[in-house]
Amino acid sequence: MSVLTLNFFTQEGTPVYRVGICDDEKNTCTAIEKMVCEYAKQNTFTLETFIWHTGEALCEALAKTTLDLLFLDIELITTSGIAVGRYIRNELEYHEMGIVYISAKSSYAMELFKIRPLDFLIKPVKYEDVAQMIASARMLARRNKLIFEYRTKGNYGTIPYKDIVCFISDNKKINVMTSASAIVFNGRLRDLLPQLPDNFIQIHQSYIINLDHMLSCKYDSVKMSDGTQLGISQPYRKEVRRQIAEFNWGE
Amino acid sequence: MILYIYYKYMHSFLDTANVNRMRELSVYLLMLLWLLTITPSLPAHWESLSVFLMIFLLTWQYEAPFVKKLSLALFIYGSYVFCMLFTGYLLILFDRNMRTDTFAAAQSVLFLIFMYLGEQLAEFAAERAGRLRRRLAESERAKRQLLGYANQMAVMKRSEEKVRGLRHDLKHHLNELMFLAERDEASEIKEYIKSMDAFMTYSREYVSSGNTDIDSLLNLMLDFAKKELCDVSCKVSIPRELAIKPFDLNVILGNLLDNAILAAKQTPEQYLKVRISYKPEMLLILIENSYQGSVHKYKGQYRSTKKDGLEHGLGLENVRHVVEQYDGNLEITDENQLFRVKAVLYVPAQKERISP
Repeated sequence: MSVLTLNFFTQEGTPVYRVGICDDEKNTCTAIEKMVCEYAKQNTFTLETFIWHTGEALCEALAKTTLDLLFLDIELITTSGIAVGRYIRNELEYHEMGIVYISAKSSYAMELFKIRPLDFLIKPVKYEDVAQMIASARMLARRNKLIFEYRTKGNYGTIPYKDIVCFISDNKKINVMTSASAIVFNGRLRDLLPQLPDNFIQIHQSYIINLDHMLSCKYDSVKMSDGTQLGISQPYRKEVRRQIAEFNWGE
Repeated sequence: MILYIYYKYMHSFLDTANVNRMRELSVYLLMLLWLLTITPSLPAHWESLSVFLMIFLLTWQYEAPFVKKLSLALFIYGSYVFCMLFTGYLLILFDRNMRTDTFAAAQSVLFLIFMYLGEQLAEFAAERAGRLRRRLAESERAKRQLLGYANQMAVMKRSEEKVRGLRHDLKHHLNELMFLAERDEASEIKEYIKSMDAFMTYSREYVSSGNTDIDSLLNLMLDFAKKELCDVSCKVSIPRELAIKPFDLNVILGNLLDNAILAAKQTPEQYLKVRISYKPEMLLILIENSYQGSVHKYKGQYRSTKKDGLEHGLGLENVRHVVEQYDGNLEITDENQLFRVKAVLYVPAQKERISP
């Protein structure tokens, strides 16, 4: 593993942005790294890049460290990009990292979509594409840093928004579901919704879900990353579809 | 009774979607009052003119072009006059001494029968025209699908030929590269590789998602778009095994791209952007194009600016219909000379393999 740290106009306390690249072709790695650094230089932020040439090395490293964005080759020689992606999402339960798949072909297997990649890029990778990926991943990272504050039994508590799978209301109480725990506080979804980031949408009178934790969506139900299945009630269906399209294409 | 017939006529010929029910009813009641009280007291020629005016006024509640309203009123009035004359003729033929109220009753009965038959005929004709139009649109789609497949076959064949051609000359190319490398001519080597790459890629293959249906349709449409427009971009990231019927896909993408290309062609930017992506169980389509002038909106829905009346707004209607079959959404926005269509379709994952 080679590590390269670049400091452009480093500000005190600014978190370092971490980008990983995993491809068995050394040239592709170098090309992407160059573009990533070029983007960081133009947009004056601090950035660290990590390069791996095999999926195994990447998996081993990810068990110990975190990344904000990963460029991952689909056609790795020993382990496929699908297996690595599955390991990241299912084994490590690492949901907030943006994965961008790179490949020479533009033909994709259904399995890849279950890993919820940020996007797909085709080799040879273009600068504009890389720039766009980092821009949207940075926006994601900024959103993931937001913290949800609540009050229960006179005590204040906090949870990072990225860990919240969904809010479920139950009789003037709201359950905050994360993959690890459930917290209950008093409140109404109606008052809660306006203060949430835009990746939270209401799908039912008593459910608000985090789109980043949505595994799949049928027209009448969604499946979340913690395995729960929630129904989309009739009056919300049209609006849910509209919001998902909006969220997907960005604005 | 006569008023009901009028009502039926208005509804079958004019657009009645945006009508306030209460207002409509009160207008008809007013007309009834007019017919019962004022009309009989008018002199004969004024009487018939007032009937015409009344019918014409009735048409103003509905949305339709002026000429259509006028011709409808004229038609109803014409049949009214015809019936009056015809009963008069019958009167002369048979019974000159018939009482006036019997005469009037005969007149209205004849008018009613006449109008009823006319209405039935019109409905029948409209149904036939609709069926014909649907069949036409269907055959148009079938033709395009066939054309798409043929084009895709040609595209694939050409790509394959190019690769084979390159492989055939590979030894020669390698020799040349080795020769350049021995003389350390890096820039020449780069140039040579670039030209090899250009030779290999076939410029008319824009989409290769591995999904033959989508590829064939998009390659056909985009080839056309590239010829007509100057700023065309397309990105398709979808699974190969997508469970959507080629026919439905054809309706959606074919119609939307047709409209987009036509609209963009009339603008200086000539801009078209196509994005198709997939989230588990959801197919998301985005089509953006530049447009100029006014978008025709009617009943809150978009209408085409095409001149051919038969296909008026039918394309989008079909798209909406298919999208709804997939429990989806079609959202259309236009702002700053940018027309944007977003479609969401629920496409279930392929049936899971049944474990033994």
